[in-house]
Amino acid sequence: MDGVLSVLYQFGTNAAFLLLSAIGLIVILGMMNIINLAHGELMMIGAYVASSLYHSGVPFAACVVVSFFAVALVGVALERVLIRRFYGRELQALVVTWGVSLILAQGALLAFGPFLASIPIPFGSGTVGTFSFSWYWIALIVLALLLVAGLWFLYYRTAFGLRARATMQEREMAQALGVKTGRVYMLTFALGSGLAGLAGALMAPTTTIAPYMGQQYVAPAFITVVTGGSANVIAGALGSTGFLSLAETPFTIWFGTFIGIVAMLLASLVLIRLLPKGLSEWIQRRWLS
Amino acid sequence: MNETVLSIAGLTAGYGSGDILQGASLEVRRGDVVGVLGRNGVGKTTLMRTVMGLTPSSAGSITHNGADVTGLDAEERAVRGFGYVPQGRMVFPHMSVEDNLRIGALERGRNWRRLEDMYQRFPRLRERRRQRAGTLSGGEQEMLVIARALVGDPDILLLDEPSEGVQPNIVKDIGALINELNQTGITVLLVEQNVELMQAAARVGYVMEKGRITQALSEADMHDGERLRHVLSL
Ligand SMILES: Nc1ncnc2c1ncn2[C@@H]1O[C@H](COP(=O)(O)OP(=O)(O)OP(=O)(O)O)[C@@H](O)[C@H]1O
Ligand SMILES: [Mg+2]
Repeated sequence: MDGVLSVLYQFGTNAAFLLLSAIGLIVILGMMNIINLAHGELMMIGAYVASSLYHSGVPFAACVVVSFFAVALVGVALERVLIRRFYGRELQALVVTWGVSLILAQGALLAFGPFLASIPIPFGSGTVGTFSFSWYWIALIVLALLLVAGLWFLYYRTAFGLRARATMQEREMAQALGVKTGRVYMLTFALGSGLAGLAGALMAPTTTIAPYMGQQYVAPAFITVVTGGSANVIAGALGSTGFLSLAETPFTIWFGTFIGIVAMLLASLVLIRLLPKGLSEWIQRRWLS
Repeated sequence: MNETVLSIAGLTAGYGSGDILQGASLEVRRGDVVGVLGRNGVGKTTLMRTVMGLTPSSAGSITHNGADVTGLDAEERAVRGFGYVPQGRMVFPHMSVEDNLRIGALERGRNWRRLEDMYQRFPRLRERRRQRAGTLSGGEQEMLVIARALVGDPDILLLDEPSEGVQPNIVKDIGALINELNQTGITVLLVEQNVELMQAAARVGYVMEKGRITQALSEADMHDGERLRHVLSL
């Protein structure tokens, strides 16, 4: 019993880690076809905002919310000044976002030094028999699921979602129906950035808050995105985090974190070999049409 | 005579490597169905894209209900009542039929009741309203893009070769549909190279050659199938 719980917990934390790392990237790549190499640094800014606020007395939950909006604003600025000049030019956009990532990380180092005061993990820990767990990670698992549900609602049940899906699928036709596609792109980039900031703030208590902290999330985030594919962003996010954690968890438990990550990488490679368009295309073909 | 809804004068446009549209002029009056007949590649689609605002013009003007709209982008023209049915259909393939219709109403007053009108007119679309638009047949997609434009209650409907790639019996249906729509007062600009559809649907017309409007076709001309076919063989 304790063993089963422990495996489920490990699976849940792995999946939540991947989902939170990837969610902002998924929105921007899936909707705008922009590979945002500054994703990790946007997460870093979220953690920085959270840490600064937390240590000036703001409750942690409020820090997380503010991080979302603060980094969303950073996203708006980036999109207006830079990114919008590179729509439809994926490679150039990639180089530009890489430049942004270097500037943001170096800037944080120069402005705030090698690290910021850390945030203690909220909520403490619980035990069931011999199995012990962190309530905070349970909260992160629930939040990750809520975020996906929220995204689903936004994209499939609101006017913004209708405009965004239309813009993504046939931009000119959306324009010819009156959709202000430039605004849709700006808001999408803001949303993806804000989600990166939110995830950074949520991860902040679990790690060292430092200029290059974003890098630990970027590789898993990209693996998640590539495995999911962009046919259906939400199905892809859920499918690929589930699949990758399923591959990772047993190896993490038996052989440790490093081998777990290797197993996840291999699983991703095999899957992409078999389903080049990603898991979401397969899910869509199989169940959603 | 009815007022002019759309007036195009000396319109010039292209895609960077030279002008495709070279000073085209024409007029569409309220309640009329005006056809533009021209063979492959004379610039009919470029004309429609430029009127819609998707291809920028380098000279000339577009006037809608007396207002110069040449400087407006496609979004603003759509909101003012330009209903666009592009060549090659351009449905939103991963969206349901219903969402394709909803987006047509969204920026034009969100009158969701008009979805019901469309379902009544096109029962096939109702049957398939949950289906992804990309999985419809060519004829059904053509109905969908026409319905998607109509659901926004357009002031003028721009139809770019609706006959392309659909079966001959459906071409007949499209002709009948345009007539029916016209009875309800809708103004239509139709470009085609299908003489049968042109004759079935358009009251008057123009001939387009190499980026220019070269002849006006009167009602009598439109009945002269020989003449229209001759235009296409030029
Ligand atoms: N996006 C584009 N970029 C460059 N040239 C284009 C583009 N679209 C069309 N052209 C060129 O412009 C010319 C006119 O094309 P257009 O599509 O307007 O003609 P059309 O009369 O609609 O033809 P069709 O009957 O085949 O639909 C053609 O020579 C075509 O090659
Ligand atoms: Mg054409």
